[in-house]
Amino acid sequence: MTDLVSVLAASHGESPFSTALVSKIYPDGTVDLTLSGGSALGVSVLASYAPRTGETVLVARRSPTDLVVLGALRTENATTIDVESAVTLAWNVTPSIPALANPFTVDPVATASHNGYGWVSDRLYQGAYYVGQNYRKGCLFYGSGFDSVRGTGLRITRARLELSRPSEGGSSAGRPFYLAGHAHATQPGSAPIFTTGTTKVGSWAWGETETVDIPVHLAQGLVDGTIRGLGTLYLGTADYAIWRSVSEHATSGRLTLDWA
Amino acid sequence: MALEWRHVSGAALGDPVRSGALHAVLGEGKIGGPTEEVTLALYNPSATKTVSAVKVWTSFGDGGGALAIALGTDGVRSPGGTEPIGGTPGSYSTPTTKATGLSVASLGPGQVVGIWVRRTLTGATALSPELNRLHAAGTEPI
Repeated sequence: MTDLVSVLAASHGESPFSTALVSKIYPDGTVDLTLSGGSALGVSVLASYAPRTGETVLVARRSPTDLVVLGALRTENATTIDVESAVTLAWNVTPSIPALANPFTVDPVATASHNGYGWVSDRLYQGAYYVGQNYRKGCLFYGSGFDSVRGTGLRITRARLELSRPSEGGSSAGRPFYLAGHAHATQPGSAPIFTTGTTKVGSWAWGETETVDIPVHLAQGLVDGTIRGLGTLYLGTADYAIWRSVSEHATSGRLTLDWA
Repeated sequence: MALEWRHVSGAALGDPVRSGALHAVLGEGKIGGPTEEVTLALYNPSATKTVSAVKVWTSFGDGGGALAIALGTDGVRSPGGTEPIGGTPGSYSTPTTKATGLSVASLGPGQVVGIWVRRTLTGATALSPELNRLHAAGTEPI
């Protein structure tokens, strides 16, 4: 009998291993082999291997003429391992857009003007009548009017504002509205805080009621909650004017909004 | 890596799915929005080893979006050709354990199987982000 230690100890030269096919088995346990370069007869076999005809085996060469079969050749370990792969799918889920007319309207719940010291009227005053008078800032408060669409991803595509001038206050000729956004859904106790720049929109003469287009981004700001109301922000006298309150004109400050 | 999740680009394999990347597989959804389906590929990148006894299942996070998965009717195959990976979805189900997962007998070297993912947001709650997981497991030779 032959053991692996003695085979490896006796081998010399380069790469003592090769493969062969078992072609015949003898009663004494030796085998005939078919090799790539010919055949070998009566080759001994490691004690741990029971040869089978036709099996591919690994052969060690102890000398140029002395071979020994180590065992069946296996190209793959029969042992398996568990493998696993997982991925996380991530997405945002946003509230659905409620059933909503297109366009839809939002009316202010209140209007009021502040002169820097206090709230002086429920009308919308713009600027000062004369130099030295305190500048007044008129505000439109929309209360909870935008709560149902906030956070829905609603995209405003067109925005229009209705205002009405009484037949008094400033010039009787047409005057623009210096529109800006502020931070208040309802009338605050102190002076209003405007949070956007000013845009001149429309022109209202005494007694006129007009609906005019306003910048979409202001209406989008109301939907998104980045601003909470609109108003007039004008620190001058030339375009001093007054607009009616919601108590005088129910649709004063009405916003008509197209959306997608 | 013994198994890979890949995007599908027609009959070809796409890039690996980036786990946890926002909207990498399905985009933002609205509660009550339309049901959406997308095909992913489960891929064996090995050149020599077969992965056997493959199972595919899901697990859920908060949010309540309903996720279901189905094997593609084209079965296990090699990428390429003209037919899109995944074909059409088989029967959808929502297995949440390996034991009850969808079964794929084996994935040979370089082979893929299309996995359809269906998202339904009826009854979901708003969440940013909602997280769900896809799992695949099998055995392969050492």
